[in-house]
Amino acid sequence: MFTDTEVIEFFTNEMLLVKLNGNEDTLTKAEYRVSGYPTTVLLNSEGRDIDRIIGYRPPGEYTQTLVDYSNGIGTLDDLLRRAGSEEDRNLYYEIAEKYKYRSSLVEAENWFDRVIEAGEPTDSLSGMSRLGKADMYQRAGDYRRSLESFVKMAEDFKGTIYEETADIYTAIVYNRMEDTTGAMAAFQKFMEKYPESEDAEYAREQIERLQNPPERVE
Amino acid sequence: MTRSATLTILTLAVFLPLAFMFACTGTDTATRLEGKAPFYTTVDDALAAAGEGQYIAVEFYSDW
Repeated sequence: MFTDTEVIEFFTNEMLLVKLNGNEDTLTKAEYRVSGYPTTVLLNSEGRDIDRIIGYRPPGEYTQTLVDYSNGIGTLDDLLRRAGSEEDRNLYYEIAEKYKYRSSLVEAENWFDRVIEAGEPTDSLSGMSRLGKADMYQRAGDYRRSLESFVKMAEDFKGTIYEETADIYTAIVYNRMEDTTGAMAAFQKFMEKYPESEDAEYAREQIERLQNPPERVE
Repeated sequence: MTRSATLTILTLAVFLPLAFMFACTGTDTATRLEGKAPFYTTVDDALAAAGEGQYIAVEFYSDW
């Protein structure tokens, strides 16, 4: 990303770039409530948190999103303003996701619930919102609640893509909890249930890793 | 020329260039590596270097 010619030019002429290793600079990570990597937080010249980009984006899309945010387009403030006059579940979902990635759990939960309440309980946006909530709990370290949410979701969304997604996340949460037995059983169940899934290979790798954990360097 | 005037001139001669050098280099602590976007390693350094209305992108990454 940061070796792309356009990106180099952008950060030479348009905006300043700060690169921080979140595992080392944990204070700054906590200050900006970063819950995953990579996360890019856009600040104005007074240091105010404008908005953030979560995950990887193609270089052109990445810089354009930063420009849009700097112009007040697509920011949380912008979406909240629009939500005041539009009844749009997609918009509510976007707002919930933005709160989620700011670790503003109460607000995120409220907006996810708004998406679910405004539609059918098992439609696509409700599924995404249920996933969003369960993912939010595990990011906050509330693994038990996250696990319960994913298990319940797999039941409620039987036969849909959301059941499969909830099942793989169930295994991932067990893994994060360092419950090796639970994680191995959940990954095994996933492989047997969805042999054709694109996540089946990932599940197999995780089982191997759990059976033969890499030696810890003291 | 009095002794105090000489001292004043000497002081200015020493400190003005130092102050100028600090003004020129003190805020621009960006790391510039060949073939990579220039970057700062702290938010404070970037805030000190940012001009009015200039935005700062803070990328949090992990080497895990």
